[in-house]
Amino acid sequence: MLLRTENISLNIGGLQILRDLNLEIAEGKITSIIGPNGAGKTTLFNVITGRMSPTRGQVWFKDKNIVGLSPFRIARLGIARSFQITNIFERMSVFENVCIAAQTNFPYRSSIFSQVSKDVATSRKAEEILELIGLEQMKNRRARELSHGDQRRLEMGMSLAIEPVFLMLDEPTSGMSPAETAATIDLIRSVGEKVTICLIEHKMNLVMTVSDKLIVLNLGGKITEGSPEEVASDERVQKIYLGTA
Amino acid sequence: MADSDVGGRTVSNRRLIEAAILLVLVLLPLGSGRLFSDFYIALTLRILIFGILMLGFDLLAGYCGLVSFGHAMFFGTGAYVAALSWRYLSDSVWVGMLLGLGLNAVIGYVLGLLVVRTRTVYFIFLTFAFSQFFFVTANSWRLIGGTDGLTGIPAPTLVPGISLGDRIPFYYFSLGMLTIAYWVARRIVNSHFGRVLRGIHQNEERVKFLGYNSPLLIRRVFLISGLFGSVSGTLMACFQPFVPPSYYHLSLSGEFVMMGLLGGMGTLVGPLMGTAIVIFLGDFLSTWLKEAWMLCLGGLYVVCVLFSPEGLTEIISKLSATRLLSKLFGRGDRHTSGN
Ligand SMILES: Nc1ncnc2c1ncn2[C@@H]1O[C@H](COP(=O)(O)OP(=O)(O)OP(=O)(O)O)[C@@H](O)[C@H]1O
Ligand SMILES: [Mg+2]
Repeated sequence: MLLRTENISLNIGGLQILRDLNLEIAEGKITSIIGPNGAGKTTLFNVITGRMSPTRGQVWFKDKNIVGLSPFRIARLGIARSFQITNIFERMSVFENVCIAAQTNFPYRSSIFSQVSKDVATSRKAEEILELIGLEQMKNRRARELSHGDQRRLEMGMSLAIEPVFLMLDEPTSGMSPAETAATIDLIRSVGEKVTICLIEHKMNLVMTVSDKLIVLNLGGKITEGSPEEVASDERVQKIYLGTA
Repeated sequence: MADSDVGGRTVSNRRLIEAAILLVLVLLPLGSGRLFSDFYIALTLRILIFGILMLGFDLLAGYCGLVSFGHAMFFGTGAYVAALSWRYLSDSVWVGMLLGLGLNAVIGYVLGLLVVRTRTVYFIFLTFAFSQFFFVTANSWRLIGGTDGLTGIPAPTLVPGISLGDRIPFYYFSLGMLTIAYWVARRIVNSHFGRVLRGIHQNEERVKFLGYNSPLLIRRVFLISGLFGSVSGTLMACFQPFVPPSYYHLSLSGEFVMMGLLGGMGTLVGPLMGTAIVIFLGDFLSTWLKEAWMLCLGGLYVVCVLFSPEGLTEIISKLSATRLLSKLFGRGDRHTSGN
Protein backbone atom coordinates (compact mmCIF):
# COMPACT_ATOMS: atom_id res chain seq x y z
CA MET A 1 0.00 0.00 0.00
CA LEU A 2 1.35 3.39 -0.94
CA LEU A 3 -1.28 5.35 0.96
CA ARG A 4 -3.82 4.31 3.55
CA THR A 5 -6.34 6.37 5.49
CA GLU A 6 -7.48 5.17 8.87
CA ASN A 7 -10.85 6.29 10.24
CA ILE A 8 -10.63 9.74 8.73
CA SER A 9 -13.48 11.95 9.91
CA LEU A 10 -13.98 15.64 9.39
CA ASN A 11 -16.60 17.77 11.08
CA ILE A 12 -17.14 21.40 10.22
CA GLY A 13 -19.63 23.37 12.27
CA GLY A 14 -21.62 20.34 13.33
CA LEU A 15 -21.69 18.91 9.83
CA GLN A 16 -19.96 15.61 9.30
CA ILE A 17 -18.26 16.01 5.95
CA LEU A 18 -16.13 12.85 6.06
CA ARG A 19 -17.17 9.76 8.02
CA ASP A 20 -14.71 7.12 9.21
CA LEU A 21 -13.01 6.65 5.88
CA ASN A 22 -10.72 3.64 5.59
CA LEU A 23 -9.18 3.69 2.14
CA GLU A 24 -6.22 2.05 0.51
CA ILE A 25 -4.33 3.19 -2.55
CA ALA A 26 -2.20 0.47 -4.10
CA GLU A 27 1.18 1.34 -5.52
CA GLY A 28 1.40 1.53 -9.31
CA LYS A 29 -2.37 1.48 -9.81
CA ILE A 30 -4.91 4.03 -10.94
CA THR A 31 -7.58 4.45 -8.28
CA SER A 32 -10.64 6.58 -8.97
CA ILE A 33 -12.89 8.19 -6.43
CA ILE A 34 -16.44 8.73 -7.58
CA GLY A 35 -19.62 9.94 -5.98
CA PRO A 36 -22.31 12.58 -6.41
CA ASN A 37 -21.74 16.30 -5.94
CA GLY A 38 -20.92 17.16 -2.35
CA ALA A 39 -19.92 13.60 -1.49
CA GLY A 40 -16.65 14.79 0.03
CA LYS A 41 -14.21 13.81 -2.70
CA THR A 42 -12.37 17.14 -2.88
CA THR A 43 -12.42 17.38 0.90
CA LEU A 44 -10.72 13.99 1.10
CA PHE A 45 -7.99 15.30 -1.23
CA ASN A 46 -7.65 18.37 0.96
CA VAL A 47 -7.16 16.22 4.04
CA ILE A 48 -4.56 14.01 2.37
CA THR A 49 -2.56 16.96 1.02
CA GLY A 50 -2.59 18.93 4.25
CA ARG A 51 -4.93 21.68 3.18
CA MET A 52 -7.37 20.64 5.91
CA SER A 53 -6.82 18.70 9.14
CA PRO A 54 -9.14 15.81 9.88
CA THR A 55 -11.08 15.87 13.15
CA ARG A 56 -10.02 12.26 13.71
CA GLY A 57 -7.96 9.66 11.97
CA GLN A 58 -4.63 9.11 10.29
CA VAL A 59 -3.23 9.19 6.79
CA TRP A 60 -0.36 6.80 6.25
CA PHE A 61 1.93 7.44 3.33
CA LYS A 62 4.64 4.80 3.03
CA ASP A 63 4.18 3.99 6.73
CA LYS A 64 4.50 7.62 7.79
CA ASN A 65 1.57 9.43 9.35
CA ILE A 66 1.25 12.65 7.39
CA VAL A 67 -1.65 14.21 9.28
CA GLY A 68 -0.54 17.56 10.67
CA LEU A 69 2.22 18.12 8.13
CA SER A 70 1.96 21.35 6.16
CA PRO A 71 1.16 21.14 2.44
CA PHE A 72 4.70 21.90 1.33
CA ARG A 73 6.11 19.04 3.43
CA ILE A 74 3.55 16.63 2.02
CA ALA A 75 4.39 17.82 -1.49
CA ARG A 76 8.06 17.17 -0.80
CA LEU A 77 7.29 13.58 0.15
CA GLY A 78 6.25 13.18 -3.48
CA ILE A 79 2.51 13.80 -3.34
CA ALA A 80 1.42 16.15 -6.12
CA ARG A 81 -2.11 17.36 -6.72
CA SER A 82 -4.12 19.34 -9.18
CA PHE A 83 -7.16 21.33 -8.16
CA GLN A 84 -10.79 21.16 -9.19
CA ILE A 85 -10.67 24.87 -9.97
CA THR A 86 -7.62 25.47 -12.15
CA ASN A 87 -4.77 26.69 -10.01
CA ILE A 88 -1.85 28.05 -12.04
CA PHE A 89 0.31 31.18 -12.26
CA GLU A 90 -1.83 33.15 -14.64
CA ARG A 91 0.56 35.99 -15.39
CA MET A 92 3.57 33.80 -15.99
CA SER A 93 4.37 32.18 -19.29
CA VAL A 94 3.42 28.54 -19.76
CA PHE A 95 7.12 27.66 -19.72
CA GLU A 96 7.67 29.49 -16.42
CA ASN A 97 4.71 27.70 -14.88
CA VAL A 98 6.32 24.38 -15.61
CA CYS A 99 9.80 25.60 -14.62
CA ILE A 100 8.74 26.74 -11.17
CA ALA A 101 7.50 23.21 -10.60
CA ALA A 102 10.43 21.48 -12.32
CA GLN A 103 13.10 23.34 -10.37
CA THR A 104 11.85 21.73 -7.13
CA ASN A 105 13.76 18.61 -8.16
CA PHE A 106 17.09 20.34 -7.64
CA PRO A 107 18.86 21.45 -4.48
CA TYR A 108 18.95 25.05 -5.74
CA ARG A 109 15.15 25.16 -6.08
CA SER A 110 14.86 28.37 -4.04
CA SER A 111 18.45 29.56 -4.04
CA ILE A 112 19.28 33.26 -4.23
CA PHE A 113 22.65 32.63 -5.84
CA SER A 114 21.68 30.49 -8.82
CA GLN A 115 20.49 32.11 -12.05
CA VAL A 116 17.52 30.63 -13.88
CA SER A 117 18.98 31.59 -17.25
CA LYS A 118 21.91 29.24 -16.66
CA ASP A 119 19.77 26.37 -15.39
CA VAL A 120 19.75 23.91 -18.27
CA ALA A 121 18.48 21.00 -16.19
CA THR A 122 15.20 22.70 -15.26
CA SER A 123 14.64 23.97 -18.78
CA ARG A 124 15.20 20.52 -20.20
CA LYS A 125 12.79 18.97 -17.73
CA ALA A 126 10.22 21.68 -18.53
CA GLU A 127 10.55 21.08 -22.29
CA GLU A 128 10.02 17.38 -21.69
CA ILE A 129 6.83 18.05 -19.73
CA LEU A 130 5.54 20.53 -22.32
CA GLU A 131 6.00 17.92 -25.01
CA LEU A 132 4.22 15.32 -22.89
CA ILE A 133 1.19 17.55 -22.32
CA GLY A 134 1.28 18.86 -25.89
CA LEU A 135 1.77 22.52 -25.06
CA GLU A 136 5.21 23.09 -26.56
CA GLN A 137 3.73 25.48 -29.14
CA MET A 138 2.24 27.58 -26.35
CA LYS A 139 5.48 27.80 -24.43
CA ASN A 140 5.80 31.58 -24.45
CA ARG A 141 2.14 32.43 -24.06
CA ARG A 142 0.88 33.71 -20.78
CA ALA A 143 -0.95 31.00 -18.89
CA ARG A 144 -4.14 33.05 -18.64
CA GLU A 145 -4.34 33.29 -22.43
CA LEU A 146 -4.72 29.53 -22.79
CA SER A 147 -8.04 27.83 -23.37
CA HIS A 148 -9.68 26.19 -20.38
CA GLY A 149 -8.66 22.73 -21.51
CA ASP A 150 -5.05 23.76 -22.05
CA GLN A 151 -4.95 25.35 -18.61
CA ARG A 152 -6.11 22.07 -17.08
CA ARG A 153 -3.37 20.24 -18.96
CA LEU A 154 -0.85 22.83 -17.84
CA GLU A 155 -1.81 22.27 -14.25
CA MET A 156 -1.40 18.55 -14.70
CA GLY A 157 1.99 19.22 -16.27
CA MET A 158 3.04 21.23 -13.23
CA SER A 159 2.06 18.37 -10.96
CA LEU A 160 4.05 15.97 -13.13
CA ALA A 161 7.06 18.27 -13.23
CA ILE A 162 7.73 17.80 -9.53
CA GLU A 163 8.27 14.11 -10.33
CA PRO A 164 5.76 12.80 -7.82
CA VAL A 165 5.43 9.30 -6.43
CA PHE A 166 1.72 9.82 -6.00
CA LEU A 167 -0.35 12.03 -8.28
CA MET A 168 -3.79 13.24 -7.21
CA LEU A 169 -6.00 14.71 -9.93
CA ASP A 170 -9.27 16.45 -9.09
CA GLU A 171 -11.54 16.22 -12.13
CA PRO A 172 -8.72 16.73 -14.66
CA THR A 173 -11.06 16.67 -17.65
CA SER A 174 -13.82 18.92 -16.32
CA GLY A 175 -14.96 21.39 -18.95
CA MET A 176 -12.86 19.74 -21.67
CA SER A 177 -14.08 18.99 -25.16
CA PRO A 178 -14.41 15.29 -26.11
CA ALA A 179 -11.16 15.48 -28.10
CA GLU A 180 -9.30 17.09 -25.21
CA THR A 181 -10.75 14.53 -22.84
CA ALA A 182 -9.57 11.68 -25.02
CA ALA A 183 -6.06 13.12 -25.17
CA THR A 184 -6.05 13.55 -21.40
CA ILE A 185 -7.13 9.95 -20.86
CA ASP A 186 -4.19 8.81 -22.96
CA LEU A 187 -1.92 11.03 -20.94
CA ILE A 188 -3.22 9.69 -17.62
CA ARG A 189 -2.74 6.14 -18.87
CA SER A 190 0.81 6.68 -19.96
CA VAL A 191 1.74 8.55 -16.77
CA GLY A 192 0.03 5.79 -14.77
CA GLU A 193 2.63 3.32 -15.98
CA LYS A 194 5.22 5.00 -13.80
CA VAL A 195 3.29 6.90 -11.15
CA THR A 196 0.53 5.91 -8.73
CA ILE A 197 -2.54 7.97 -9.55
CA CYS A 198 -5.68 8.84 -7.65
CA LEU A 199 -8.38 10.42 -9.74
CA ILE A 200 -11.64 12.17 -8.96
CA GLU A 201 -13.92 11.97 -11.97
CA HIS A 202 -17.52 12.40 -13.00
CA LYS A 203 -17.20 11.09 -16.55
CA MET A 204 -18.17 7.44 -16.14
CA ASN A 205 -16.75 6.20 -19.44
CA LEU A 206 -13.39 7.65 -18.51
CA VAL A 207 -13.47 6.17 -15.03
CA MET A 208 -14.50 2.73 -16.26
CA THR A 209 -11.78 2.47 -18.89
CA VAL A 210 -8.85 3.98 -17.07
CA SER A 211 -9.16 2.80 -13.45
CA ASP A 212 -7.84 -0.32 -11.77
CA LYS A 213 -10.00 0.32 -8.75
CA LEU A 214 -12.99 2.49 -7.84
CA ILE A 215 -13.95 3.92 -4.48
CA VAL A 216 -17.51 5.25 -4.17
CA LEU A 217 -18.28 8.00 -1.68
CA ASN A 218 -21.63 9.43 -0.68
CA LEU A 219 -22.42 11.91 2.09
CA GLY A 220 -18.85 11.66 3.34
CA GLY A 221 -18.88 7.90 3.79
CA LYS A 222 -17.57 5.00 1.71
CA ILE A 223 -20.37 3.10 -0.04
CA THR A 224 -18.28 0.46 -1.70
CA GLU A 225 -15.06 -0.21 -3.55
CA GLY A 226 -13.67 -2.66 -6.04
CA SER A 227 -12.90 -3.16 -9.69
CA PRO A 228 -14.91 -1.08 -12.19
CA GLU A 229 -17.04 -4.16 -13.04
CA GLU A 230 -17.82 -4.94 -9.41
CA VAL A 231 -18.76 -1.36 -8.63
CA ALA A 232 -20.86 -0.95 -11.77
CA SER A 233 -22.98 -3.94 -10.82
CA ASP A 234 -23.45 -2.84 -7.21
CA GLU A 235 -27.09 -1.99 -6.52
CA ARG A 236 -26.42 0.77 -3.99
CA VAL A 237 -24.07 2.47 -6.41
CA GLN A 238 -26.59 2.30 -9.23
CA LYS A 239 -29.14 3.81 -6.92
CA ILE A 240 -27.11 6.76 -5.60
CA TYR A 241 -24.85 7.44 -8.47
CA LEU A 242 -25.11 5.64 -11.75
CA GLY A 243 -28.86 5.89 -11.71
CA THR A 244 -28.68 9.65 -11.77
CA ALA A 245 -25.83 9.87 -14.27
CA MET B 1 5.30 41.42 -27.26
CA ALA B 2 7.56 42.28 -24.40
CA ASP B 3 5.22 40.33 -22.16
CA SER B 4 6.45 36.87 -22.79
CA ASP B 5 9.83 37.75 -24.16
CA VAL B 6 12.35 35.37 -22.76
CA GLY B 7 14.92 35.95 -25.47
CA GLY B 8 18.19 37.83 -25.37
CA ARG B 9 17.30 40.95 -27.37
CA THR B 10 15.39 42.68 -24.62
CA VAL B 11 18.14 41.93 -22.19
CA SER B 12 20.92 43.33 -24.34
CA ASN B 13 18.87 46.45 -24.99
CA ARG B 14 18.34 46.88 -21.31
CA ARG B 15 22.05 46.44 -20.64
CA LEU B 16 22.74 49.19 -23.17
CA ILE B 17 20.41 51.65 -21.50
CA GLU B 18 21.61 50.73 -18.04
CA ALA B 19 25.15 51.46 -19.18
CA ALA B 20 24.06 54.78 -20.72
CA ILE B 21 22.35 55.91 -17.53
CA LEU B 22 25.36 54.87 -15.48
CA LEU B 23 27.62 56.84 -17.81
CA VAL B 24 25.48 59.98 -17.43
CA LEU B 25 25.57 59.59 -13.66
CA VAL B 26 29.33 59.10 -13.70
CA LEU B 27 29.85 62.23 -15.81
CA LEU B 28 27.31 64.34 -13.96
CA PRO B 29 29.69 65.92 -11.41
CA LEU B 30 31.81 67.29 -14.32
CA GLY B 31 28.98 69.63 -15.25
CA SER B 32 28.42 70.78 -11.72
CA GLY B 33 29.18 74.49 -11.28
CA ARG B 34 29.51 74.86 -15.08
CA LEU B 35 26.27 73.63 -16.62
CA PHE B 36 24.19 73.59 -13.45
CA SER B 37 24.60 74.39 -9.80
CA ASP B 38 25.94 72.01 -7.20
CA PHE B 39 22.42 71.87 -5.84
CA TYR B 40 21.49 69.37 -8.54
CA ILE B 41 24.26 67.05 -7.46
CA ALA B 42 22.77 67.12 -3.99
CA LEU B 43 19.37 66.33 -5.42
CA THR B 44 20.77 63.47 -7.49
CA LEU B 45 22.50 62.15 -4.41
CA ARG B 46 19.20 61.89 -2.60
CA ILE B 47 17.87 59.85 -5.51
CA LEU B 48 20.89 57.54 -5.44
CA ILE B 49 20.53 57.06 -1.68
CA PHE B 50 16.80 56.43 -1.58
CA GLY B 51 17.08 54.39 -4.77
CA ILE B 52 18.99 51.70 -2.86
CA LEU B 53 16.16 51.35 -0.36
CA MET B 54 13.60 51.33 -3.14
CA LEU B 55 15.30 48.38 -4.84
CA GLY B 56 14.83 46.40 -1.64
CA PHE B 57 11.31 47.69 -1.29
CA ASP B 58 10.54 46.45 -4.78
CA LEU B 59 11.83 42.94 -4.05
CA LEU B 60 9.34 42.70 -1.21
CA ALA B 61 6.40 44.69 -2.54
CA GLY B 62 6.75 44.42 -6.30
CA TYR B 63 8.00 40.88 -6.68
CA CYS B 64 6.61 39.17 -3.61
CA GLY B 65 3.47 41.31 -3.38
CA LEU B 66 3.88 42.37 0.24
CA VAL B 67 3.65 46.14 0.61
CA SER B 68 5.53 47.33 3.67
CA PHE B 69 4.37 50.51 5.31
CA GLY B 70 7.24 50.50 7.74
CA HIS B 71 10.36 50.43 5.64
CA ALA B 72 11.59 53.56 7.40
CA MET B 73 12.51 51.33 10.36
CA PHE B 74 15.40 49.81 8.43
CA PHE B 75 16.39 53.19 7.04
CA GLY B 76 16.32 54.86 10.47
CA THR B 77 18.23 52.03 12.13
CA GLY B 78 20.88 52.10 9.39
CA ALA B 79 21.27 55.84 9.97
CA TYR B 80 21.32 55.81 13.78
CA VAL B 81 23.69 52.88 14.12
CA ALA B 82 26.14 54.29 11.59
CA ALA B 83 26.06 57.76 13.12
CA LEU B 84 26.70 56.37 16.60
CA SER B 85 29.56 54.20 15.39
CA TRP B 86 31.23 57.11 13.60
CA ARG B 87 31.01 59.17 16.73
CA TYR B 88 32.06 56.60 19.30
CA LEU B 89 33.81 53.72 17.56
CA SER B 90 35.56 54.39 14.33
CA ASP B 91 35.40 56.92 11.54
CA SER B 92 35.36 54.20 8.88
CA VAL B 93 32.18 54.20 6.82
CA TRP B 94 32.43 50.41 6.57
CA VAL B 95 32.23 49.87 10.32
CA GLY B 96 29.05 51.92 10.51
CA MET B 97 27.57 50.22 7.50
CA LEU B 98 28.31 46.70 8.74
CA LEU B 99 26.96 47.42 12.22
CA GLY B 100 23.80 48.85 10.66
CA LEU B 101 23.46 45.79 8.46
CA GLY B 102 24.02 43.55 11.46
CA LEU B 103 21.34 45.15 13.62
CA ASN B 104 18.92 45.35 10.72
CA ALA B 105 19.51 41.68 9.97
CA VAL B 106 18.48 40.89 13.54
CA ILE B 107 15.44 43.18 13.26
CA GLY B 108 14.51 41.73 9.88
CA TYR B 109 14.85 38.20 11.22
CA VAL B 110 12.84 38.72 14.40
CA LEU B 111 10.10 40.87 12.89
CA GLY B 112 10.02 38.54 9.91
CA LEU B 113 8.86 35.76 12.22
CA LEU B 114 5.87 37.92 13.14
CA VAL B 115 4.95 39.66 9.89
CA VAL B 116 5.07 36.39 7.96
CA ARG B 117 1.79 35.42 9.60
CA THR B 118 0.01 38.24 7.83
CA ARG B 119 -0.72 39.19 4.24
CA THR B 120 -2.13 42.18 2.34
CA VAL B 121 -3.64 44.90 4.55
CA TYR B 122 -2.62 43.17 7.77
CA PHE B 123 0.94 43.13 6.57
CA ILE B 124 0.71 46.86 5.96
CA PHE B 125 -0.69 47.49 9.45
CA LEU B 126 1.85 45.31 11.20
CA THR B 127 4.88 46.79 9.44
CA PHE B 128 3.48 50.24 10.17
CA ALA B 129 3.00 49.38 13.85
CA PHE B 130 6.58 48.14 14.19
CA SER B 131 8.10 51.19 12.57
CA GLN B 132 5.94 53.39 14.79
CA PHE B 133 7.46 51.59 17.75
CA PHE B 134 10.91 52.53 16.49
CA PHE B 135 9.81 56.12 15.99
CA VAL B 136 8.45 56.46 19.51
CA THR B 137 11.57 54.85 20.97
CA ALA B 138 13.96 57.10 19.06
CA ASN B 139 11.85 60.12 19.89
CA SER B 140 11.97 59.51 23.62
CA TRP B 141 15.34 57.89 24.17
CA ARG B 142 17.68 60.57 25.49
CA LEU B 143 20.81 58.56 24.87
CA ILE B 144 20.33 58.85 21.11
CA GLY B 145 19.21 62.46 21.20
CA GLY B 146 15.48 62.09 21.78
CA THR B 147 13.41 64.54 19.76
CA ASP B 148 16.50 66.38 18.55
CA GLY B 149 18.05 63.23 17.16
CA LEU B 150 21.79 62.95 16.67
CA THR B 151 23.54 66.11 15.52
CA GLY B 152 27.05 67.03 14.56
CA ILE B 153 27.88 63.59 13.27
CA PRO B 154 31.51 63.40 12.14
CA ALA B 155 32.04 62.66 8.46
CA PRO B 156 33.25 59.06 8.00
CA THR B 157 36.16 58.09 5.83
CA LEU B 158 36.13 55.67 2.94
CA VAL B 159 39.75 54.75 3.54
CA PRO B 160 42.10 56.70 5.75
CA GLY B 161 42.64 60.02 4.00
CA ILE B 162 39.47 60.09 1.91
CA SER B 163 36.66 61.78 3.77
CA LEU B 164 33.12 61.20 2.67
CA GLY B 165 32.32 64.67 3.97
CA ASP B 166 33.63 65.86 0.60
CA ARG B 167 30.95 65.98 -2.04
CA ILE B 168 32.75 64.29 -4.93
CA PRO B 169 34.06 61.18 -3.14
CA PHE B 170 30.69 60.78 -1.47
CA TYR B 171 28.87 61.09 -4.78
CA TYR B 172 30.91 58.32 -6.36
CA PHE B 173 30.69 56.18 -3.25
CA SER B 174 26.89 56.45 -3.31
CA LEU B 175 26.75 55.80 -7.04
CA GLY B 176 28.94 52.74 -6.49
CA MET B 177 26.65 51.48 -3.75
CA LEU B 178 23.55 51.96 -5.88
CA THR B 179 25.20 50.15 -8.78
CA ILE B 180 26.10 47.22 -6.56
CA ALA B 181 22.61 47.22 -5.04
CA TYR B 182 21.06 47.19 -8.50
CA TRP B 183 23.29 44.35 -9.60
CA VAL B 184 22.45 42.33 -6.49
CA ALA B 185 18.72 43.03 -6.82
CA ARG B 186 18.78 42.04 -10.49
CA ARG B 187 20.54 38.79 -9.64
CA ILE B 188 17.99 38.02 -6.94
CA VAL B 189 15.12 38.69 -9.32
CA ASN B 190 16.63 36.33 -11.86
CA SER B 191 17.48 33.62 -9.35
CA HIS B 192 15.40 30.55 -8.61
CA PHE B 193 14.37 32.32 -5.42
CA GLY B 194 13.17 35.29 -7.48
CA ARG B 195 11.03 33.04 -9.63
CA VAL B 196 9.38 31.56 -6.56
CA LEU B 197 8.81 35.06 -5.17
CA ARG B 198 6.81 35.95 -8.26
CA GLY B 199 4.95 32.71 -7.78
CA ILE B 200 4.08 33.64 -4.19
CA HIS B 201 2.81 37.00 -5.43
CA GLN B 202 0.52 35.44 -8.00
CA ASN B 203 -0.65 32.33 -6.19
CA GLU B 204 0.89 31.42 -2.87
CA GLU B 205 -1.24 28.35 -2.43
CA ARG B 206 0.08 26.84 -5.66
CA VAL B 207 3.63 27.53 -4.54
CA LYS B 208 3.00 25.64 -1.30
CA PHE B 209 1.51 22.64 -3.05
CA LEU B 210 4.56 22.47 -5.30
CA GLY B 211 6.64 21.94 -2.18
CA TYR B 212 7.94 25.40 -1.32
CA ASN B 213 8.06 26.64 2.25
CA SER B 214 6.61 30.02 1.33
CA PRO B 215 6.68 31.55 4.83
CA LEU B 216 10.40 30.89 5.02
CA LEU B 217 10.95 32.55 1.65
CA ILE B 218 8.85 35.55 2.68
CA ARG B 219 10.96 35.94 5.80
CA ARG B 220 14.04 35.77 3.67
CA VAL B 221 12.94 38.48 1.26
CA PHE B 222 11.75 40.64 4.15
CA LEU B 223 15.20 40.49 5.70
CA ILE B 224 17.01 41.13 2.43
CA SER B 225 14.72 44.02 1.70
CA GLY B 226 15.55 45.52 5.09
CA LEU B 227 19.28 45.29 4.36
CA PHE B 228 18.88 47.50 1.29
CA GLY B 229 17.10 50.02 3.53
CA SER B 230 19.94 49.84 6.02
CA VAL B 231 22.60 50.80 3.48
CA SER B 232 20.39 53.63 2.36
CA GLY B 233 20.05 54.96 5.93
CA THR B 234 23.79 54.72 6.51
CA LEU B 235 24.48 56.77 3.40
CA MET B 236 21.93 59.35 4.50
CA ALA B 237 23.68 59.75 7.87
CA CYS B 238 26.78 60.48 5.86
CA PHE B 239 25.07 62.91 3.48
CA GLN B 240 23.48 65.02 6.21
CA PRO B 241 25.40 65.15 9.50
CA PHE B 242 22.30 64.75 11.62
CA VAL B 243 19.86 61.90 12.19
CA PRO B 244 16.40 62.97 13.36
CA PRO B 245 13.77 60.55 14.73
CA SER B 246 11.67 61.45 11.70
CA TYR B 247 13.83 58.97 9.77
CA TYR B 248 11.52 56.42 11.38
CA HIS B 249 8.38 58.32 10.64
CA LEU B 250 5.30 57.05 8.89
CA SER B 251 5.46 59.87 6.36
CA LEU B 252 8.80 58.57 5.10
CA SER B 253 7.48 55.01 4.83
CA GLY B 254 4.48 56.42 3.00
CA GLU B 255 6.76 58.23 0.59
CA PHE B 256 8.48 54.94 -0.24
CA VAL B 257 5.13 53.38 -1.06
CA MET B 258 4.31 56.38 -3.24
CA MET B 259 7.65 56.17 -5.06
CA GLY B 260 7.07 52.51 -5.74
CA LEU B 261 3.52 52.89 -6.96
CA LEU B 262 4.35 55.88 -9.15
CA GLY B 263 7.15 54.16 -11.00
CA GLY B 264 5.49 50.77 -11.23
CA MET B 265 6.56 47.98 -8.95
CA GLY B 266 8.03 44.64 -9.86
CA THR B 267 10.43 46.09 -12.40
CA LEU B 268 13.34 47.40 -10.24
CA VAL B 269 13.68 50.29 -12.69
CA GLY B 270 10.17 51.55 -11.93
CA PRO B 271 10.74 52.34 -8.27
CA LEU B 272 14.02 54.04 -9.17
CA MET B 273 12.08 56.26 -11.58
CA GLY B 274 9.47 56.86 -8.94
CA THR B 275 12.21 57.93 -6.54
CA ALA B 276 13.63 60.38 -9.06
CA ILE B 277 10.21 61.84 -9.80
CA VAL B 278 9.16 62.25 -6.18
CA ILE B 279 12.46 63.86 -5.23
CA PHE B 280 12.75 66.17 -8.24
CA LEU B 281 9.11 67.09 -8.34
CA GLY B 282 8.97 67.39 -4.59
CA ASP B 283 11.78 69.88 -4.70
CA PHE B 284 10.42 72.06 -7.49
CA LEU B 285 6.84 71.99 -6.38
CA SER B 286 7.56 72.56 -2.73
CA THR B 287 9.29 75.88 -3.49
CA TRP B 288 6.14 77.17 -5.19
CA LEU B 289 3.41 75.30 -3.44
CA LYS B 290 4.90 74.77 -0.01
CA GLU B 291 2.91 72.08 1.76
CA ALA B 292 0.46 71.58 -1.09
CA TRP B 293 3.01 69.79 -3.25
CA MET B 294 2.06 66.48 -1.71
CA LEU B 295 -1.40 67.13 -3.09
CA CYS B 296 0.08 67.45 -6.58
CA LEU B 297 1.95 64.22 -6.09
CA GLY B 298 -1.29 62.63 -5.04
CA GLY B 299 -2.89 64.00 -8.21
CA LEU B 300 -0.11 62.59 -10.34
CA TYR B 301 -0.58 59.28 -8.61
CA VAL B 302 -4.31 59.27 -9.35
CA VAL B 303 -3.59 59.98 -13.01
CA CYS B 304 -1.17 57.08 -13.02
CA VAL B 305 -3.68 54.73 -11.52
CA LEU B 306 -6.37 55.82 -13.94
CA PHE B 307 -4.24 55.31 -17.01
CA SER B 308 -2.21 52.41 -15.84
CA PRO B 309 -2.43 50.48 -12.63
CA GLU B 310 1.15 49.39 -13.09
CA GLY B 311 2.66 52.84 -12.80
CA LEU B 312 4.76 55.01 -15.08
CA THR B 313 6.78 52.16 -16.50
CA GLU B 314 3.61 50.84 -18.05
CA ILE B 315 2.58 54.22 -19.48
CA ILE B 316 6.03 54.56 -21.00
CA SER B 317 5.99 51.09 -22.43
CA LYS B 318 2.67 51.88 -24.05
CA LEU B 319 3.95 54.93 -25.93
CA SER B 320 5.26 53.83 -29.28
CA ALA B 321 7.53 56.89 -29.54
CA THR B 322 9.52 55.48 -26.69
CA ARG B 323 10.10 52.01 -28.08
CA LEU B 324 13.59 52.00 -26.78
CA LEU B 325 12.46 52.75 -23.28
CA SER B 326 9.79 50.16 -23.53
CA LYS B 327 12.47 47.60 -24.17
CA LEU B 328 14.13 48.70 -20.99
CA PHE B 329 11.01 48.84 -18.92
CA GLY B 330 9.27 45.98 -20.70
CA ARG B 331 7.11 44.27 -18.17
CA GLY B 332 8.50 40.98 -19.34
CA ASP B 333 10.68 40.40 -16.32
CA ARG B 334 7.74 40.89 -14.04
CA HIS B 335 5.80 38.00 -15.38
CA THR B 336 8.19 35.76 -17.17
CA SER B 337 11.77 34.85 -16.79
CA GLY B 338 13.35 38.27 -16.49
CA ASN B 339 17.01 37.60 -17.19
N1 LIG C 1 -14.60 24.49 4.32
C1 LIG C 1 -15.84 23.98 4.33
N2 LIG C 1 -16.75 24.43 5.23
C2 LIG C 1 -17.99 23.92 5.25
N3 LIG C 1 -18.43 22.99 4.44
C3 LIG C 1 -17.58 22.49 3.53
C4 LIG C 1 -16.23 22.97 3.42
N4 LIG C 1 -15.63 22.31 2.42
C5 LIG C 1 -16.55 21.48 1.92
N5 LIG C 1 -17.72 21.58 2.56
C6 LIG C 1 -18.94 20.78 2.32
O1 LIG C 1 -18.55 19.44 2.32
C7 LIG C 1 -19.28 18.71 1.34
C8 LIG C 1 -18.34 17.99 0.44
O2 LIG C 1 -17.67 18.91 -0.41
P1 LIG C 1 -16.63 18.46 -1.50
O3 LIG C 1 -16.15 19.69 -2.19
O4 LIG C 1 -15.60 17.61 -0.87
O5 LIG C 1 -17.52 17.60 -2.48
P2 LIG C 1 -17.11 16.87 -3.82
O6 LIG C 1 -17.40 15.44 -3.63
O7 LIG C 1 -15.76 17.25 -4.25
O8 LIG C 1 -18.20 17.46 -4.81
P3 LIG C 1 -18.07 17.91 -6.35
O9 LIG C 1 -18.28 16.68 -7.15
O10 LIG C 1 -19.18 18.87 -6.52
O11 LIG C 1 -16.75 18.52 -6.52
C9 LIG C 1 -20.15 19.72 0.62
O12 LIG C 1 -21.46 19.62 1.15
C10 LIG C 1 -19.54 21.04 0.96
O13 LIG C 1 -20.52 22.04 1.01
MG1 LIG D 1 -14.95 18.32 -5.74
